[in-house]
Amino acid sequence: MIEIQVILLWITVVLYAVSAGLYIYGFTFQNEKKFPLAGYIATAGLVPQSAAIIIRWIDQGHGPYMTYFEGLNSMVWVGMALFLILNWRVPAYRFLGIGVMPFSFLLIGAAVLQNPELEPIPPTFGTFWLLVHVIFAKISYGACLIATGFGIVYLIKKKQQSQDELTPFYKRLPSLEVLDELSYKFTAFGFIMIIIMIISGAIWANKAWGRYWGWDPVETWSLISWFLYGIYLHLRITYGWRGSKAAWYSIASLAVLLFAIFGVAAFYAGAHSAYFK
Amino acid sequence: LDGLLQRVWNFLISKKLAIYLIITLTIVTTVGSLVPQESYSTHTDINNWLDAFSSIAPVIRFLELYHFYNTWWYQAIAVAFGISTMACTIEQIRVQWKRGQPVLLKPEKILQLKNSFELTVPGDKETIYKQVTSFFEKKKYVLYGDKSSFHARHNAWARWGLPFFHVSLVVILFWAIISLGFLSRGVIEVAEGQTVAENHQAYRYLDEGRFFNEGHGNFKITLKKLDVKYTSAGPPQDADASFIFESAKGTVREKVLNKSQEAKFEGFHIYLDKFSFTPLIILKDSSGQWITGNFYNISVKEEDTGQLYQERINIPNTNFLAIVNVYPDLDKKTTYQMFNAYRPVNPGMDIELQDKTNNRVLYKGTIRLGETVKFGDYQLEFPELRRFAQLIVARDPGVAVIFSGFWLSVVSLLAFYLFIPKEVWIHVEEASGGSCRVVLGGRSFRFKSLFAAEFGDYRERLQTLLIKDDDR
Repeated sequence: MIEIQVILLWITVVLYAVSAGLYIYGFTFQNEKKFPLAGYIATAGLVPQSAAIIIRWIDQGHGPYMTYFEGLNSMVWVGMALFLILNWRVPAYRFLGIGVMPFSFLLIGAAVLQNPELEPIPPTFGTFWLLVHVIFAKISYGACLIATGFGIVYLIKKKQQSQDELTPFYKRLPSLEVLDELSYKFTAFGFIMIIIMIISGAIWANKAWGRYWGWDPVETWSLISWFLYGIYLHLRITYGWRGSKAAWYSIASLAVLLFAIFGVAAFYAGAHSAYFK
Repeated sequence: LDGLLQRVWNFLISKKLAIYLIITLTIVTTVGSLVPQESYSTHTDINNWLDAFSSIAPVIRFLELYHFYNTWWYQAIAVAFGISTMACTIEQIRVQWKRGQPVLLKPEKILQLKNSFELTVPGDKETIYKQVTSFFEKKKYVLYGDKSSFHARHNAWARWGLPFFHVSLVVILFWAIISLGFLSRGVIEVAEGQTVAENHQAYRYLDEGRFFNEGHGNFKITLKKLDVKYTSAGPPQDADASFIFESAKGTVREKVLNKSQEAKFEGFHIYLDKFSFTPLIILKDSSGQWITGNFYNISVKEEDTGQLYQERINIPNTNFLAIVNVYPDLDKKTTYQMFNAYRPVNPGMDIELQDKTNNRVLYKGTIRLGETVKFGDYQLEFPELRRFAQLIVARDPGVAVIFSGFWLSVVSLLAFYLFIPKEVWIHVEEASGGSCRVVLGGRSFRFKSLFAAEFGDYRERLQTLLIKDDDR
């Protein structure tokens, strides 16, 4: 069964790579006709990825959150699902793939290179609150990824605008103001999702070990990520931080969030590192 | 004095101060994560780290950087942040309260808003006014006004989302600090058949708040039996531990604990954390006279090669130190196999007995369950092997308030995000030639560009509604 999962994920890697390539091509050569095709290929990539997750879930009897292989895979899945929903519901936002697809391709590539062996779930993990915690961790990543995607498109359009007259391709993209606002909207959404992730983790920890906060490195870095997004919101409201500054901040914050979710467990001992193998 | 108080208040409610404090808290918290912390690092790790940074070790020790988040200065930053948040929240509540009242604006004021327009439409004032009010009512706006002007508001209540979120932050922060002062949380070990009273001495490790004041429960904990559950691959996964809890007043409760089932007794929460072996080791002199005998709890460590049951024991009433490794199945051939045997089929232990006064090794060898070994003037017996449970026993009086704060923060943030307060002002007046002048202006409190698009849509729809095709 593990071999099938790995094969399915490699198919996903190829399809996401093609999709990311088409988005980059579309932007480079200002050919938005490639975007629907890139969207179809990304959707096609989501199918084997979903199948791999479902097979693994049935095989081991618990959700995909026990190893790097599972954690990265499921996180990319949530980010892609959010992006594709947006892609198909609001076709005007198809361009967002330029920010989302390369990230998703790199992360799924990293996932498929991890050890795919199954890990038994410790008894303290089999709780409702862990499920809530994990789901919101993934949604927060998805929301912040899309916020960053809008930020990247903002930066590309801004650069184009500062260099010369905007071509029809760039004119058809939403205005800089709207791109900036959409990035803000998803950042605010991500901010709420991160706090729900932290709170549900605290409730789970309290039920499992009698403490809601233990300054475990992953807890600390999640709090740091939340602070960073909180600073973003305050800077925007108080100092009117918008545009390029906000977009770059959004990219940096996503890097910190990814480090909090995956990187920290690799570098530090703690409650989370025990299962991220 | 009033002037001074006003200046202090203005300083406290300054958003600049709040931002600086969040940035400081973020930077300091990040620095703390780079230093090995007592909460998840061993003393050896911390000492190695101190050796590596020996030139700044005195500063690290003075600032107690290895329990960074419990230091007075970190908590002082958190308190300063809490005070700033509280002051800003009070100010926010004051402003929102003031903004809560509907206000009618004159046409020229309405036109000063970023999103505004005016239309001249044919028809009488009463009909047009009715059409416009009905348009906004259908869009779920609540209207306040007189016969020619009105103030329409959508989700006006949601403006309380942000102040309530900040209230929740203040509650969480201050209650967490109070909670830290009064909590007690530690580890008690109970062997099968043993009864332990919950008091300070019973804890192997105990974290007490500054104001805990030894408020122990003094209830008795008895472990009747511990049934280990093994995974199909071999290692123990969980255990059903049957306990009897008895309060000082005589209330008795029996409860089976496992890793997903806690117990609550006398205001304490009790969790099964780990379990391992506890061998009975008896030391006698050469004539068979009893010197000492006890059950010794052996710690379990997860190693890459398997589980390691190992303990260093100071033998009571002697100057001896015993280094003990327990193996559940001594009949396994290789070390790897021994480390990966989990069921006590043929248990035994490697024991090294040292005289601490001169570090001389008195005995080093293997003893199987039921065996006796003789060395020098002593004999060592291993007649029994039991299990023991390691319990986390915690009492945190602040947890309910903190969780209430958590929920308030989630609800208020969702209200803030999902329900955007929007308001529109409309003025309708008669103009020349049987027509009317309609002036509209609006604003939203967040996502203003998106509201601008929505307001543009209002304009188009109202034009369609008020200016019929015949009139165009």
